[in-house]
Amino acid sequence: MGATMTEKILTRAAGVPSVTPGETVFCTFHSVSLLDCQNLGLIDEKGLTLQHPERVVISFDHFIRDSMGDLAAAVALPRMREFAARHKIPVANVFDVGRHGISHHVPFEEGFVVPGSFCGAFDTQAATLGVGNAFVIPLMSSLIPALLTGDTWIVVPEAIRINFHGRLRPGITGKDVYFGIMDRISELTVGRSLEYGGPGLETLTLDARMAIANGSNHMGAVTSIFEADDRLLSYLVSRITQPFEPVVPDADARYVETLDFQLEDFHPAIAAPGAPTNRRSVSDVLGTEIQAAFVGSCSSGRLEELTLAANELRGKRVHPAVRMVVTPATSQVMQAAVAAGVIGDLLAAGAAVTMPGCGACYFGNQSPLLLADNEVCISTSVENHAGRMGSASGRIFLANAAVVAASAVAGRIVQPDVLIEQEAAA
Amino acid sequence: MNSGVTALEGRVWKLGDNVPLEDVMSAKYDELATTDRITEIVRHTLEHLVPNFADNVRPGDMIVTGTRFGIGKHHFGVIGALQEVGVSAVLSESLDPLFQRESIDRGLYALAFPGITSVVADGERMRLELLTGTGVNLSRELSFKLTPASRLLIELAASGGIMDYTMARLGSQAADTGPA
Repeated sequence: MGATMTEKILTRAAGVPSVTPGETVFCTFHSVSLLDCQNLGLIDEKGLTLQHPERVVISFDHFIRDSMGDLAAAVALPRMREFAARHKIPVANVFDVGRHGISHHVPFEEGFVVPGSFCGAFDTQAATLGVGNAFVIPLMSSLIPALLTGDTWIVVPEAIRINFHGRLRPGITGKDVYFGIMDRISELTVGRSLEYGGPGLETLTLDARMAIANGSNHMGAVTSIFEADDRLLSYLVSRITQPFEPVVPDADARYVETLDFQLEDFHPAIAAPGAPTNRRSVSDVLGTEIQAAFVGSCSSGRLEELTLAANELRGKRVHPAVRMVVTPATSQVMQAAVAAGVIGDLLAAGAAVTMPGCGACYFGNQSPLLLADNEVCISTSVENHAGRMGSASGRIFLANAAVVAASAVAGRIVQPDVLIEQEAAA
Repeated sequence: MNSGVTALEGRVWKLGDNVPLEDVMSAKYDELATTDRITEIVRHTLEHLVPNFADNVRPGDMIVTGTRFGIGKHHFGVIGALQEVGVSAVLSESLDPLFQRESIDRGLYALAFPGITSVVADGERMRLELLTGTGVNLSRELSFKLTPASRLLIELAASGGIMDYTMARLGSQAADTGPA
């Protein structure tokens, strides 16, 4: 019987002849990604050493504000630098201020996530790295043990196959695709891995794939894996120097479900305050007044989303009653956005552009956006529970970057021009 | 922590299907949870689903849930609060993999036992041997047999969590290779 990509990667990483869904195995990491506010003191208290310091990547991303005790950047960043030096993590693996970015984006940009590999990252959104044809899981409390042993336990999941067809319409992002898929199949996804491919895959940018994979845990999926295609391999060619072997599913691989999605069918999607699963269309919430707008986060802080926002803002001004904050996901995204003129357009429209990182997505991070009581925000970020971006009485609508930017101009939730123009032309 | 106990006995709090982590502990308490002030938020555990849960739950009680328990982004207070009030296990028809991972890693049994919701009702007492899946509904004196959960997951949680399990692994590896 053939194997899924999930089974192939976990078989390799477990060093066994084969794996079967449902069994629990120990898999060895190709790389492990840390963020900037880890407390790894236990390792030194116990006098322990890292199994593979050369496989550890650290990216500064959260920059936690001072009120958060020993997580605060002022103490956490020096602590991470000292930890890296003490444990002989190569300095080239430490993405300190200036080279920094979201810790489940940077390892992809920097070649630490290799096709066909098993990787881990501390952050809950680790599956974003599945863009790289890798099986990547969030570690949380598994992190310190992973550093000590170089491996971790995993229940081999059954896989769901998702085939894309066609091409996204302009103004539709990976976030809309994730929301649309969640709407249709969330009853199927808990405890399973999602494997993406199909003839439409080649039309999807890597940025869009990251946003789709980013939604894995909100669907209860273990992770997401994208097939390796020319777009991925040409991106990685200058970033990975070692030989690697991508995985492809066997023709007779056993999937619990195989589903087909036409990319033209995805629409701009909204999540109303409370949870990403509170799905609405833009027309359902049209006219809702906002005070804050955010483009950024591991869900939607890449060049594609920044460009979409800039296109919507060009020649206009952010509404005077709205503060709009844009935070590129990584330093590489920031550089590309500057080169493309995107940052200039955002600034000209009156948006604030901050240092790269996680930004306003999480209340604990330093960000000028932080919601005050009863404020309403529209955001491309990950989560919209009460209190997620500041005051617990703040209300957060999640949407794609075009909707966020258009709403920032209008001062209320509106359809973006990019979609209105298409409807007019149709 | 479970101190190696794999046979559980206690009262059951039964929840339905699709309970997200937000309903176990709201994310609005994240700041208290992440700054080691878990005792201040324990009283909010399950507050919207089970009024006065924190006042009435007793050490050793079990939570039995339907399908898709624990979906949604992980919130930091959830597992700590369940452990603080003495919940011995979350036993579900199916559960979110990240909630399961983090629970097991921190020494809280979070295990799928398909069929569990049909053998016990809310408020009843139950005995369950995790390694075999055999149990008794003590309130109705009915025996049952479910497919047992993964032995490794049970051992991980029983050892107190991933850190204790790992220390034991490292210790045995050191013993295998002898003194340097």
